[in-house]
Amino acid sequence: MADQNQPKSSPHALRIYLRSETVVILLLLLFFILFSYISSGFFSSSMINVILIIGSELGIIALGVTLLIISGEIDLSVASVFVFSNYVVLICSQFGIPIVFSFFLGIAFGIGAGFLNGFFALRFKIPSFVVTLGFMIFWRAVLAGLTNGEPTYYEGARSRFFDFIGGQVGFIPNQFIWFCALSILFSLILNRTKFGNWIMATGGNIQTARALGVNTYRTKMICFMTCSALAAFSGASFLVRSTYLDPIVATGMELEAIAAAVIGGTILTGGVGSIIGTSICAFLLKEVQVGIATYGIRVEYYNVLVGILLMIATVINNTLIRKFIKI
Amino acid sequence: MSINNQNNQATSIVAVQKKKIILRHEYTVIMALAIIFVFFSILSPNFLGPLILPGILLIGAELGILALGETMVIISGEIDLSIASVYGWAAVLATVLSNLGFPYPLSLAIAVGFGCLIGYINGLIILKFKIPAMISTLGMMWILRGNLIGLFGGSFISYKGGESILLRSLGGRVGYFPKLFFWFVGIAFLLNYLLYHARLGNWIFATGGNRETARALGVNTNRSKIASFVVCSALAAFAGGAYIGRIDWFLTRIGMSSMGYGLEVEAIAASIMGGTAFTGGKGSILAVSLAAFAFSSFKSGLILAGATGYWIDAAVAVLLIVFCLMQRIGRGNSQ
Repeated sequence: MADQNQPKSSPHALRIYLRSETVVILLLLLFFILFSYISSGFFSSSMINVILIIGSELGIIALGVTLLIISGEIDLSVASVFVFSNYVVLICSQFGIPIVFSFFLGIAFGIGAGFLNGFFALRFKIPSFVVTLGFMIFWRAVLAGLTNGEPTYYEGARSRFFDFIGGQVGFIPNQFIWFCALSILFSLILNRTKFGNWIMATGGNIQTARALGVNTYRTKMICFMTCSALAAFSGASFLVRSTYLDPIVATGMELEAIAAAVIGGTILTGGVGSIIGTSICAFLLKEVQVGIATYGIRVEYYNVLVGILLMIATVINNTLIRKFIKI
Repeated sequence: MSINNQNNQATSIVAVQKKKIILRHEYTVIMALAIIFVFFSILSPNFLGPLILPGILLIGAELGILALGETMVIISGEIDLSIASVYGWAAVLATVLSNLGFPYPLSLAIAVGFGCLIGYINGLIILKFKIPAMISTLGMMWILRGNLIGLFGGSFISYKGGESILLRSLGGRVGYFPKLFFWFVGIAFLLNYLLYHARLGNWIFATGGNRETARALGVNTNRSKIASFVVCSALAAFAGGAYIGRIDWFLTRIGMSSMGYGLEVEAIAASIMGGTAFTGGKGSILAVSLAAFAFSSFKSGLILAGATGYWIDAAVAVLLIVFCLMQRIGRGNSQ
């Protein structure tokens, strides 16, 4: 049944993918040239290194959010899961668990958080943004309560695992390599496997997908769990990179992740989306953030810009969808 | 003629359903309120004393104003996450304008006008460009908050404007009751009239209940949605602008750009606790008002029991999800 579904939507969808991806690449280059020109501190190897690192962290979160949006749901709790998995890794390593296992426990926490999101949203049919809004506040508040809102430092030894996650290969940070691997993996899953097809079908038209025999409950649940697991992975690698935990870090990152997905060409109503577009767009956003900071504009305006970009991109996506796919 | 008949029939059916739901949820909320009061009075004897109860009423009145606006939007079938940012903007705007020499009533009116404008823009973006409300108001939340902190910094802005009757009518109390509580009661009555006795209210219920049917019956669904967004943001702006009035409780009047952070979750939770269906079309002003006070007494009780602000936020989040679950399970039984 998956094969019957694919050829119908793919030529139209392909055109939109190409379009949004080209636009995002062009924007990336445009902003790169613009910021190199207007702010003197921007064009340097250290800044590009920073963009690659923080862009990868955002990108890994945005991959999961993209999958989830394609399946027709949304997750506002990713930023809180990100920062809470920092805490899980930190506290486990303080209890004497080796950092490698703590790292995996952090990811396991993410899977659990995703299961809770999916369980409440799907089993009880509560809109996913209400559930995840609740969990967004919940994880962040529990973390702040446990740490009293103060930063904590990792004081254990730095093993070889730290270089494996947060080190550098020449000029390229390891996180970027991780991110590329994940990005290719999820791109293949989405576009080349039966499961990817199920995700698209579930988000596109859930009744039809169910009638064709897709287990939409399980598909959405796996998307919820993948999304939170990726956020937790990103958070755990953030801790390994920075070796400290701040409960207010990554505030507003859920907006950035959704914006990366939407500007990259994912349709908010589900069914259409591009992993490659999201991946490039994560770097676009972080490039703009670094550019704004080096130019000397207050960082608060970055959130304003992300909000505006998100709305514009949604309008453009909606117009394109109406043009290419007649609903 | 026949359309008119149908309209009347549909209205009467809606009215009967409305009454049933109102009764059920009001009882539930009153019971929750009673349980909270008994529990926390046993836990800490000061709970019903002259120090705490006015505080509960004050915080409840403020939350209630926000929650009633949110209820209008949820009934119309949408959601508004930007109210906390509108609240913060209005508080800072009213303070700054008064400091510039405007009389306070005028600054408050400008702040409320600003709220109306934001609500109108919200509605316009959602309906004209067909962006889901959750996304566009999330974007609006960050646009407003970012601009606010960017423009005014993160520090306190103390109020240097003149006194006025309006300012005095917002702060202080009459006996046990803070004056803002009476404002809240007035607003609740006004909204009650608007929702149940005016044509607009019927339109909003119809729009949220079944948009296609409402449109077929000649309801201007776009206009009712935009109206509910405008009312919601205007109420949030009023609550924010009134902040400097009500704060003279603590003798210093201040505005601050981080004010109201996270208040939208509380407003949504109070609204859903009051039985507003998150799918739209159902809700009761009285139940949501009571729920706001249940909420504020719960929070105050936790503070008295020694919980810090962070744990209270966590409890609010848990409550939001629990109320959603209760609503779902309750509906499953009734069907």
